[in-house]
Formats: sequence, C-alpha cells, structure tokens
Amino acid sequence: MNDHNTNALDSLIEAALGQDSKGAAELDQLAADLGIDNGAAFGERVELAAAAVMVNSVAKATEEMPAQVKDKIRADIATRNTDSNVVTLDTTSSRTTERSGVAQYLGWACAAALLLALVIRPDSTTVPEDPADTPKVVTTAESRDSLKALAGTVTLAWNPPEIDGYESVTGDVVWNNELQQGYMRLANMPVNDPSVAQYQLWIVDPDRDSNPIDGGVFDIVADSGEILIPIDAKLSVLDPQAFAITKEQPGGVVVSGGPLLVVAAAT
Amino acid sequence: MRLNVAESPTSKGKTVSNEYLLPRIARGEQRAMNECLDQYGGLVWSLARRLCPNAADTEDAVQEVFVEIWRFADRFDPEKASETTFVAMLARRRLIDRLRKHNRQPIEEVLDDGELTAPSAESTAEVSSDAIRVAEAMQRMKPEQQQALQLSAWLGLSHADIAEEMDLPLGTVKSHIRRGLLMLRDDLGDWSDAGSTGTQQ
Repeated sequence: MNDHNTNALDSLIEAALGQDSKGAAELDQLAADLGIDNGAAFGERVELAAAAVMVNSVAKATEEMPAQVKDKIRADIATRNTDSNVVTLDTTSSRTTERSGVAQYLGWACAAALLLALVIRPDSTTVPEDPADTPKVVTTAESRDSLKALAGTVTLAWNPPEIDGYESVTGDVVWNNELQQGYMRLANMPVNDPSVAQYQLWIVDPDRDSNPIDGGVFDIVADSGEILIPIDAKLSVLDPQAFAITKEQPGGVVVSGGPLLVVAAAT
Repeated sequence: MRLNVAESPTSKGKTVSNEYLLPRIARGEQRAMNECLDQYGGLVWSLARRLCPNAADTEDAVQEVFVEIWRFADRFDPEKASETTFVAMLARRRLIDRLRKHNRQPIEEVLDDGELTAPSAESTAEVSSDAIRVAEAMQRMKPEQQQALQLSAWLGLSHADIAEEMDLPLGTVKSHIRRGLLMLRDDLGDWSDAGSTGTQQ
C-alpha cells in the first residue's frame, strides 16, 4: 500500500472509531480513495474490532447489573413495545415452576376473603399516542403512567394492612392483563435486608390455578418514601383477583406460607 | 492470520432463527429482551462503569444502550461478529457519544486501570470467541501499541490526541492503531489492499 492509501486508511479508521462529525459521507469519500465501495460497512468492521477490544478488557472484571436497573430497563422497553404495537406476550416463561403440596393454600384463603370487601377501580381509558421513535429515557413513573392510561388497565389500592409494622403502607397496583404488565406503588414499606429476606409479590388468579402466580421478588433498600416496582409475572395471568406481598428467603420461594403483609384485591 | 470477528452460526449449535437473542428482539419478543438483559447486562454495565462518572450516569447510560439494542437488533449479522461484540459496539457508540456531549475525557481512569490490560485467553474463555482472539492478538502487541489501541477503542480519541496523551509521534500512533486493527481483523487488510477493485464487502 502506498503512502496515499496508508493515509487514507488511517483517516478512515480514525473517523470510524471517533464517530466524529465527518459522518457517513466522509467515510464513503475516504473509502472511495481506497477503492472501497462501502465506507460505512468498513467503518462498522473497525468499530466491531474496537468493541472486541473493550469486551476483552473487561473480561476479568465483569460486574452484575443491579436488579433495580434491570427492572427500570424492562419497564422502559415494555412501554416502547407497547407504543410500537409489537408486543409479544410472554406466555411460555422458562422460569415457570410447578407448584405442589398443601402449604401453598395457607394464607391464600385470606386473600380470597378480601375479594369480597374490595372493589376494582378501573382507571382512565384514554390510549396515548406517542410513537416514541427517538431514543428517550423513560422513567418507571412514566412507564406506569402510560400503562395506567391504557384501556383495560385496572388500579387496585392496597387494603389497609393489619400486620405489625406494615399498618402505614399505602399505594396501589396497576395491571393490564392484555399486556401482562403492571406496577406496584408502595409508600412506607419497611426496609428489608436482601441478604436475610426479600419481598415477593403473588398474583391470585383462580382461573389459572388455585395456587398464586409468582410476581417477582423485590427489595426496599432505603426508607425513601414512595417506590414503583415493575411486576414480573412468571406465568401468564388470566384473571387476576388479588395481589399480595409476602416476605421470603432471599430469591423468593415457590410456595409461600404467608403471612400476607399487604394485599390489593378485586371484588 | 485472519481474525474473523464472528462466531459461526453453527459453531455453538446456534442458528439465527432459534438461538440468537437479537433477531428475536427484532421480532418483538419481549422475553428475548429480558434474556438479553440477563445475558449482556453485566457486560454493558461494566463498560458503562468505566466511562461514566457516577452511578446515576451509569444507570442512564445503560438504559440508553439497551434502548439502542432494542432499536437496532435487526442489524445484527452473525457472519460479521458475535452477538457479544455487536452489543458492545452499540454500547461503545452510545457511551462515547455521552462522553462527547458531557465533554468528559476520563483518559487517566482508563489508562490507570490495570484491568484494561489484555487478559489471558483462558480468562476470557467464557466471554466470547471474539474476546479470546483479541486476547491472543493483543498478547503479540507491544505495550504502547496496546495502549494506543485501547485509547482509540475506549475513548474514540483522535490520533493527534492519543499522540499527545502518550507523548509519541503522530505517525507512530497511526501505525500502532492501524497495525493493531489489522492484527485483529485481517479482513480490514483485505479491504484496504483492494486497490481500485472496490468490490469487496
């Protein structure tokens, strides 16, 4: 390769890795100087090599992404999927766990009883029009608001808890059955030590099973007032009648013996 | 030597249709996005942690990266790179873009971090075939060549800025980076030597 070509190649590499203002047009021009007919594709190969260098660099020190960050991203993407009408419902979760035994029935009778005392409060039926074509960081609160505004979304207030330490817990559950998405809003929920115990949400759905559906584990790591938590239903929910929170061993359990700390129930 | 920065679609029993996550995300499978978070969350988080000044910025950055993954999943081509490398490329673009917007240049942090030296091939065995090949290639590079390549890869600095940072002649830096990349991907050499044919893709 002669000096001219070497200089052109260096410039092409610099432009590809620098993502500077030269843009695709100049990449193509630089590539054309080298007889390369697709500067962008060449640039992408250079970028991929650089990315492989970065992957290699952190290989020995990869850290786990915090769970709350994952939850936030899941909620964000779920909303975008909703907005772009490409939602595919997860009805075949690989984390589905068969439940058996009799212990699981303990406590859920209480939830069933509560169904008689509480009322579904359907919320707004307005469907927002927001194509969200451009990258935009959506907060969990915004995702919840978007879901809440959809037709078919229900909002169930937490019943005033009676368990010691949980009397002042307030908030609600927002759930859209068609989208299989929802959020818990909790205020005054006592802090837990994740190394000792974690909160676990359960979804009571008699049409699906007499056993409640695992709605995911979560932590209250700081006494920071109100907190929003995406619901992570491990099975497809058919007709949710109540949502209840228990405190379990780290990682949650397959079968809970209660007690039900906080409950939100339909009629 | 050809560094084919790609995993064969069948090398690990994968096929585009039923194993790779990105094509499933492109089809709108919500579960695939969750699996992608589990699979690549640690990698993206670790990359962002290097280039973001604090936890809040890191969280925002990784959220943006995964939105990018969601948007551009359909552009993944297993013939060009492994899924891991493609995800890292999208992360790199977004992270460098954020660096530029916030006018931050964490050169010292990147340079001073001992973890950024090339690990052994054994230590990367579970990362990706790309990373293993990169580790092998970088072990054959001189330290200053590695450093020039790292600065270019991680920060997207101009050759002049890298020359100033490393106190090396500009031509030397250009040579280090060019030759380093050619060691990583021989197909770049194939292309650049194509002369006037202009037909290679």
